[in-house]
Amino acid sequence: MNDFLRVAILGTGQVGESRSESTGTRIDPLVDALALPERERAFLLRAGALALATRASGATLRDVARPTPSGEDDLRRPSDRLASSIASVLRRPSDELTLDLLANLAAARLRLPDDVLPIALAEKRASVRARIRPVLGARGLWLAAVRPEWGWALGQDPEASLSPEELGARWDDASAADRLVLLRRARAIDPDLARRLVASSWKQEKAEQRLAWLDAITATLVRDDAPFLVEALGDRSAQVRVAAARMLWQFADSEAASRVRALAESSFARSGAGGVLGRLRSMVGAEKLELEVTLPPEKFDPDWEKVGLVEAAPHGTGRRQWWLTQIMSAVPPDHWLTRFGTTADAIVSAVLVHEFASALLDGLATATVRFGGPSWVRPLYDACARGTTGSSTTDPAGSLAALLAPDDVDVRLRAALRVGELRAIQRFPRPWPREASREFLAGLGTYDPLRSSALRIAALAIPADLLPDSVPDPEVPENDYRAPHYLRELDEFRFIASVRRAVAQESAP
Amino acid sequence: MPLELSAAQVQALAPDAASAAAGRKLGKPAPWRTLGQSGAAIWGECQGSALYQTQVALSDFASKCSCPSRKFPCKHALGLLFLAVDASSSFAHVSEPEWVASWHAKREASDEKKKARAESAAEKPVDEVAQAKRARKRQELVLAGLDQLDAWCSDRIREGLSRLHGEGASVWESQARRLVDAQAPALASRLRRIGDEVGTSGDWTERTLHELGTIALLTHAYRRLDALSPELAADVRRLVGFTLDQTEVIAHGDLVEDEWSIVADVLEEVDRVRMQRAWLHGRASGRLATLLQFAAGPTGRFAESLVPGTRFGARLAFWPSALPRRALIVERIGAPASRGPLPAGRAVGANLEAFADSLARLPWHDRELLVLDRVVPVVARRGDATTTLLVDDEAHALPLRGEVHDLLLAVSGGHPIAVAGEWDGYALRALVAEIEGRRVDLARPTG
Repeated sequence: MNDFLRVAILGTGQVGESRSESTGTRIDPLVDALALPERERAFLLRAGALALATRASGATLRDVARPTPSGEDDLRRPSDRLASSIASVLRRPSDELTLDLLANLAAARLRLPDDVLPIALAEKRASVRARIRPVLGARGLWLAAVRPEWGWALGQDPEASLSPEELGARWDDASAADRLVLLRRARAIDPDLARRLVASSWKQEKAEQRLAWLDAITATLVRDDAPFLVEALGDRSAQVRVAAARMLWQFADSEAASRVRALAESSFARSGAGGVLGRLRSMVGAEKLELEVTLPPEKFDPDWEKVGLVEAAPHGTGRRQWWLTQIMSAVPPDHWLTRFGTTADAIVSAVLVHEFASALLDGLATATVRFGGPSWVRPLYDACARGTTGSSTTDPAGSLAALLAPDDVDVRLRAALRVGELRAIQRFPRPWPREASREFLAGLGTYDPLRSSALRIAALAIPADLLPDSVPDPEVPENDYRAPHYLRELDEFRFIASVRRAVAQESAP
Repeated sequence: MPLELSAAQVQALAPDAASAAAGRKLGKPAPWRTLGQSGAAIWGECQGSALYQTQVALSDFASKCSCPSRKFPCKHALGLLFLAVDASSSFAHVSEPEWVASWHAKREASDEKKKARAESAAEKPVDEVAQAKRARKRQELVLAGLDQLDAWCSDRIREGLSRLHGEGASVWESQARRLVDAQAPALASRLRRIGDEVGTSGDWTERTLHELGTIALLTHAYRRLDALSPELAADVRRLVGFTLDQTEVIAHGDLVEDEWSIVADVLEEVDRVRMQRAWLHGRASGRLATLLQFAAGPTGRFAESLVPGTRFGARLAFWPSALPRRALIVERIGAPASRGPLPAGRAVGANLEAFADSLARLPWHDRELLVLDRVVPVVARRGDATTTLLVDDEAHALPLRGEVHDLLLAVSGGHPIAVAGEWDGYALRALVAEIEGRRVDLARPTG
């Protein structure tokens, strides 16, 4: 700070006369020539002239280096029109359209337009970031280096090809989040290495991290994992013990699987005539299957925890029915086809009329998703979709819908669309079958308030090449309180459709 | 279709983001029952909760709609313009319906009336004795006010600027009111602006000292008006608070006919009054002009539609000045056109030399439009402070106002671009960039 400014800050009344009140420039003699009687007035005129001189001389900095510019992009730049749509979508609160758009841009090898890169890089959620990263392009990665908080875009790529040696070397010093990334990578290239890495740090890690590791390998279980999982049954955390036991259900010859199967067989049996003749009769439909379902005992057996059962039931579910659901979910559903000698349709029909239908269907549906069982998907979906299965946090029909054959989806989706059954409509996988999509689009010309809530879902689910260029407003009855909502949703349909169509058009070679 | 606005330019006309979004939704053929165009206007009938008749004049983008919206332009007018941008073929060339033709007739009649009023005002006999008496009285008031202001400023220097930080806005406000009473409103506004900046940045003491010094130079100059050139004297009077009405500007200022590009604009709102400051550049004359417009309330209408990135033929009248910049539109000539490129830019050094020349002509010149050619935005960190610089081919750089300019960095990607913005002698307020012929509005991004 120069003396002149120091005097101004402290005040001429506070500093002695000897303190410098000159600027040390050619301004001083000019002001002195005015011979002003007041010290402060002369000071202010000097300050004014100094300000003028400062502004006129310019605040130029010299010899400033330029950064290396961003390189050529492998990804194509979208047209100005699509760029404008992308900007609109990214400036909205992030929603399904954002995720859909980002995925479609990546598939079309298009990149984000330059002017929305700052918005994209400011994204905080990991799920959205994962979709943003592939469409940043060279420009986006260049920009990410500008701000430390954008460094996530330059961070370690989960798909990076690290060698087993590199993985092992990084493991010890890696953070909890990075270890998860390393574990997934190790799992993909060498399951044995992954187990060794986990075992090396298992006891030192928190239960939360141990659970995350189990979750990371659950989709790619191999038989060699069994000894490690058996060891985890003795973990100090109950949650880890249960998770390990449930993973062991995948191995039919494991103790956990055998014991839970035995529990299931004692709870779920066919009543009446059994034997070969009975089986034959029920297979040809000559005998209706009747079930004998026994709820587990009143008291939770502590040993059950070791086979993967959780004692505390979700809110609103009876404890014993909850245990029954878990037991049923632990056994591959095809086991019952062999055991009862009948079809999935017959078993589901029998379950439906039983007083514990809800608990049994939940269990069978979860088992079907967990172990597979193609013949179970349709009857279980229909049973779950019409009933009151699931809890506030689970929707068995939702999980099953993803496994339905396309023709089965088509029929059920069309039925749900006709009556505006929103929960069902939301369950079906995307894109929707073409016939169901066409039927929905054909109905857009007519005002139908039952469709209001389906419009946004449809705009995202209908194959992009079927989406129309324009959708006229239908005739709306006067005084219908639902009409404004319908027209708003129709506008949203138009917007989403226009964005998806634009991406589809530009993705064409 | 004579209208060639871009969607971004239509968006720039919107009074707020909600209107722009609503206008976008109406920018599709579906809601429009009829659509038409003539050489002078586009129009349509939009089916909303009623059938609204909407029209936009192509000469200045003025609009009229039968809807009850108090926003201007309304969403229907914006929708009509968006549609004209996206699907110009939807507008049939037909003769204007009665409701369009009558609006034109009314506007023309109104323009004629304005002209006639201006002419009659110019011809009105002036009571010179009364006028001189009023001027004398005001001069006494102003001089007394300036004496009081000088004393107040001296007190600030005697007590030290550091005290200002704890004293709050009332110190500035009470002095500003005294200046209003002394009929020096422009000085009052200047003082309020200085007070608003106290304590807001690391260098506020230096800036405040500079500003108080600049005021001291101004009050010094006012007492010596006779020694100044008539143009500079007019500037000093204006900076104190003497105004000219439009007729006086037209009568005494330069009249320049040219094709004017609206290079950029700044929108500000103070005390519920919106202000648009648009920077124009004359294609043939090479002159810069600033047009100021004011509107009451957040959605009040400006008298002129000035859309950055467009150009139009017009005769402008400049306020008398040693450095004529502020102007008004006397007359528009022909329809506006879109996508006027930025004026030719210069390197940092040449721009600053021109600015120094401007200050030599008018030492109180607040800001100038600079067009910088081939500059690269660079983030510079000094300790904890981060700033953005624009670096030219000669490695000379100017600081930008604010910290990191993400959008500017994104559109440049480290490659040279053209940037236009307001330079105040300390930092540049970047307003628009041009990359490969594409404009990017930095002050109000579109999308």
